Amino acid sequence: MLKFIFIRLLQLIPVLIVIITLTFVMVRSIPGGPFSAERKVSEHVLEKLNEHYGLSDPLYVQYFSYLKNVAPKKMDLAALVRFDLKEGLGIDLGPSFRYEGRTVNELIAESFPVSFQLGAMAILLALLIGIPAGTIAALNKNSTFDYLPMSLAMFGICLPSFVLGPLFALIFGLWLDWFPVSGWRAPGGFYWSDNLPYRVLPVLTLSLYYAAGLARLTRGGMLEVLNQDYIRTARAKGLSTWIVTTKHALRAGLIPVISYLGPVIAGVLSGSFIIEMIFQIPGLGRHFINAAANRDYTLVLGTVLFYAALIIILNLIVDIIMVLINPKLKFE
Amino acid sequence: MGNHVFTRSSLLVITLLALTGCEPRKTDVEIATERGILLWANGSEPKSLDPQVATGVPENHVISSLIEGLIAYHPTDDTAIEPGMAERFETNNAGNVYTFHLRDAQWTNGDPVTAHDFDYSYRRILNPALAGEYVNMLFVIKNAKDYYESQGGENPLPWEEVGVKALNDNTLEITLVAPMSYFPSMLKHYSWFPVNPRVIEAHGGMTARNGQWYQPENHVGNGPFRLKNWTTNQILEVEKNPTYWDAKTVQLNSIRYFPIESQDSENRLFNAGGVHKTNEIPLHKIESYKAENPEVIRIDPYLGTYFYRVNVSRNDELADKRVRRALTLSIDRKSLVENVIRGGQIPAHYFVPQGIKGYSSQDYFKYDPEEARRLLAEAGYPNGEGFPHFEIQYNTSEQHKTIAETIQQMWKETLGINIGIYNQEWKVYLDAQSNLDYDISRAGWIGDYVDPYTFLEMFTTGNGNNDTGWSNPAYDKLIYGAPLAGDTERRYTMLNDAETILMDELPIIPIYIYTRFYLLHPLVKNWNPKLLDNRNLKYIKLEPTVQ
Amino acid sequence: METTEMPPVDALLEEETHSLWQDAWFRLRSNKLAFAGMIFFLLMVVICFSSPLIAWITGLSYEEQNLDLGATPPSWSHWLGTDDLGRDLLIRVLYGGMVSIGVGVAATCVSITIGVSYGSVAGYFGKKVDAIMMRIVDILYSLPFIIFVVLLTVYFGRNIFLLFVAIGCVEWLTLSRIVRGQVLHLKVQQFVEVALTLGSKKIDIIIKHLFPNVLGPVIIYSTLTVPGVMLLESALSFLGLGVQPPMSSWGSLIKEGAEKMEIYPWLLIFPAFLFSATLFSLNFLGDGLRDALDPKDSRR
Repeated sequence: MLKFIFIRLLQLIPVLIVIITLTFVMVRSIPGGPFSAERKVSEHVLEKLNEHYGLSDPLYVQYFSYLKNVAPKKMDLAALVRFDLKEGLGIDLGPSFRYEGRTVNELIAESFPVSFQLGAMAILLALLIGIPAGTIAALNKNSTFDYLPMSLAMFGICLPSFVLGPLFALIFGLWLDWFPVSGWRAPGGFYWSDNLPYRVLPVLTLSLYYAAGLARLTRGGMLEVLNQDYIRTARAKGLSTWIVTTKHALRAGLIPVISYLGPVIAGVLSGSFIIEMIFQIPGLGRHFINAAANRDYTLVLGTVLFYAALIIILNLIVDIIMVLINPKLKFE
Repeated sequence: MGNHVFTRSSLLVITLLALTGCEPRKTDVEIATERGILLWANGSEPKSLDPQVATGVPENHVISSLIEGLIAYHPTDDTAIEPGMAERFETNNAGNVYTFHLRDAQWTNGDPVTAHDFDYSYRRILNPALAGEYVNMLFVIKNAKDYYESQGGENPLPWEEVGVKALNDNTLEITLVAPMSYFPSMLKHYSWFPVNPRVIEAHGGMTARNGQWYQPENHVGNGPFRLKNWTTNQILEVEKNPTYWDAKTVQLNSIRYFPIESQDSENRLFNAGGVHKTNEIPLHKIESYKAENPEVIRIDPYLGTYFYRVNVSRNDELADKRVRRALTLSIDRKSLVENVIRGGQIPAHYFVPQGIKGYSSQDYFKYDPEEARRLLAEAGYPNGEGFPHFEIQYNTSEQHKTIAETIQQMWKETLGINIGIYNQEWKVYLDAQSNLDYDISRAGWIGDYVDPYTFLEMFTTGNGNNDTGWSNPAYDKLIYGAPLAGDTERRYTMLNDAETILMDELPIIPIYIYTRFYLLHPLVKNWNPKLLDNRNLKYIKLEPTVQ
Repeated sequence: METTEMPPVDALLEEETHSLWQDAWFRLRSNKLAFAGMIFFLLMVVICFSSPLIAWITGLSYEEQNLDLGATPPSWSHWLGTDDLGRDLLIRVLYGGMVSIGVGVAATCVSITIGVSYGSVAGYFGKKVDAIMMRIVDILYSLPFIIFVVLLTVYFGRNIFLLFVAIGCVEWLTLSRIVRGQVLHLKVQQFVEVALTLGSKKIDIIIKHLFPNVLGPVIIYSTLTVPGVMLLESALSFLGLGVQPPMSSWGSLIKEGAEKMEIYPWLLIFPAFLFSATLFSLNFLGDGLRDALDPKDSRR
């Protein structure tokens, strides 16, 4: 298994280089630059700005110097824990064009923990709702306990977060006044718990869609498995439903769910633009969209790179879990 | 409150309850009001707080609290001169040399504010290596343009040749290229604000754009407030500056700026008692606020024009003046403004917004479908027959879409022509506009200072912001001549003549004059309508709730 | 696996597949909910796709404005009310349905085709093939989608076909990973090994043994994909790709309605209702199909 992980981590290098290259080509071929604005910057100023940010060098020079800057040069775990990529790995993602005087490293280091916190809570909630709901529905196929959770799940899927978010903010924030309508930290808040009310609505909005998806996939996966012979045999042997379900059925039944979770977790942890805009959350999600919109080249590359690493590692974890679940599979 | 039946009127009740303070739990606004803190939803995150580098309105809102120029914003009158760092000033007889007498004022680090600081600041922005985007504003100073352009070349012009001189610590003399009575008004723009040379030098030097000097731990200013803390995309807080020369006038203890880009979010936050002021109101909510909570809605005139650019260089049809006039005359601006946009905007039958003292505005055309049809027929397209399919491009936004759909429909009904519409992502739209890769393109322009020149200048031949392919020698002559005209009256006449040409040729189709609409808590006092949305923040006051 | 003793495997499988479809259809019909879902969905398709005809008959138009009327709640002359430009919401919702159902179904089919074939090949061959194919998926996941879409519009114009390209390029990724996971798991199961020892060709094994077994998760994930695609369409129109106003789609109508829900609730309620009802019906149909096609069930 260690060898498997090692090889997969080695694969990271060519994959990330391909991603950097493609993204670099893409951001540079898109019309408009970081300094284009409605009130046009005069030619001579633009020239100086480009010079200042190193954009007047030939493209290949910029490309190779970027590659050089983002290549990991050292390893300092203590700094990595603080998301300090510069100290931790020697990765320099460059200055941001949109946020004068800020580096992409800083922007990611301060916004990722926010998105991570929000995303982790949402995923956890989604798992806690989705998997039991799907299992119950599968065990009670075509009865009320199937239709009820599945219909609720459909609502979760049909109501996009740009409807659900404002609706929650309106009902639970504005009308009922149970939770703050937006924000991330309580003004003057001292303890972590002071901020807790600010988490409720965004976490709820974010998790419902995934809870619904998980419930549906779990139900489908479970139904598939419950018909398998070994489950029938286990049942025939008189094992209780609880044991059959948890020990045998869930294992195989969750395979589609686990495959689904890899990309989903990467997506959720790296932040949701819509949720962050609705609830005013200073997370990483808004950088993905805004950086592209602002043609903030370095921030686009930085966030893409970060997300790529995240998704590759999560897909690796998924593959490891798959083998652990199914002993017949080998690490290869 | 849990069992309330929620209707719109109950929303009002809640707001009123919040206003009168009957709620058991105090809202942020109530707490802040008691403590003299203004909570301000300020649109987007400031890009920069460096007056010589920054651009944009949210930036201006913050910078003008931290730094004060020679002339400050007047609390009510846009053209009036409010003394700032300059206690008084005088001009020579010719009107081209201004002498400013500085008051005894301090930077927040205890340094005195001197004429040399201004000299340094102007030298800084005129240094091409800084790449200050508003450097053109300073080209009214004698030799400033030459200085800027000669730097880095063979024979750089020495700074001494430029018309800026610190005669002593308290006296600054500025020599202009020509007499300009509106010069003091220009000084209100932040590109003319001073920075502290010692601080700039300590954080990378004159041309560094590393943003270090204005971080909270380093920032040094001379304004009514000083920077307290700043968390990206969350909050920027300034607090009362005790070393400010007029600190006794400053009413607020602090201002918290929130960068909230979503109109809906800031609206909800306002209604939940989270901010005193929003940046905007979603268009469709204006009516209901007007009807139900008129005390919180503010609609101020704004020095800006919403218009369509017509590309006169791509198609023969649109190069025909009669066609452009037909398009212009067939838009029912009154109906558009009253039924669709509904934000108190003024139908624009001219290009330069009204409200500039001394500049006469008139209607250059009116809504006239008959005449429009006649003109189109004269151009060879009776009832729109044979008229090609052109398209309006706009940058993605609900409002631009609605307006484009409405105008599309008006043209279809009045002229019988089918015009398509399409949206583009912001920077693609800008790019298409500068490359003249469009037929008709939505546009807007907000004045930099209160003068017709900031509107008319851009349509000179080859101007970077012209973007229509239109060119007219007589127009160019008037625009280039106006700054040298000497007295205001002659200058305005020349600009007026230029506008007449523009409105006869119509390379642009004016649609409406902007207003600024936002929600403002009634407890915020001295918040007066200003044409450029700039306020002297030392006068803003919060009146705590009367229990 | 109780079928091991049957001699000619291929013949058996053919017969099985044959009866599988017949069985499936029979069982789908007997599943009332699924059948109702199918009827409703087909009805929506017919109504939405005949909206030009409906517009012609009723004289309503999706683009004709009435600025003096503005936004009005449902009434006799406008059953679903009007939007703030005074346009009839009913006809706009129907036209929107045409766009959204069209895009939703077509793009989902594209993503299923790519996702299932890609995922099963990767999963079945495993090892290096799998590693390379899945790293390609990782790369595609990571590329900045917005920039990709903007580039498409800039270099290829605002073409409805590009909409499918753009959506097709992203939506199959997760599906391919799900299918691959399922195939990886299945291929070491007994019945596949048996077929292998009996000398079936690899491609036959993929088509005859693995496909039916991944159908369940595929159908379920597809019912998640359809709404995703419909909403993605509205996000893409934000970037200038896809249907142009005054034409509408469910996604854009819901988006607009969400912004105005406090003032003009009907602008959200009706499009959202039709959107949800259609998805519900699709979903019941999907569940029914899944049950009907379940290869394990069919042998009993």
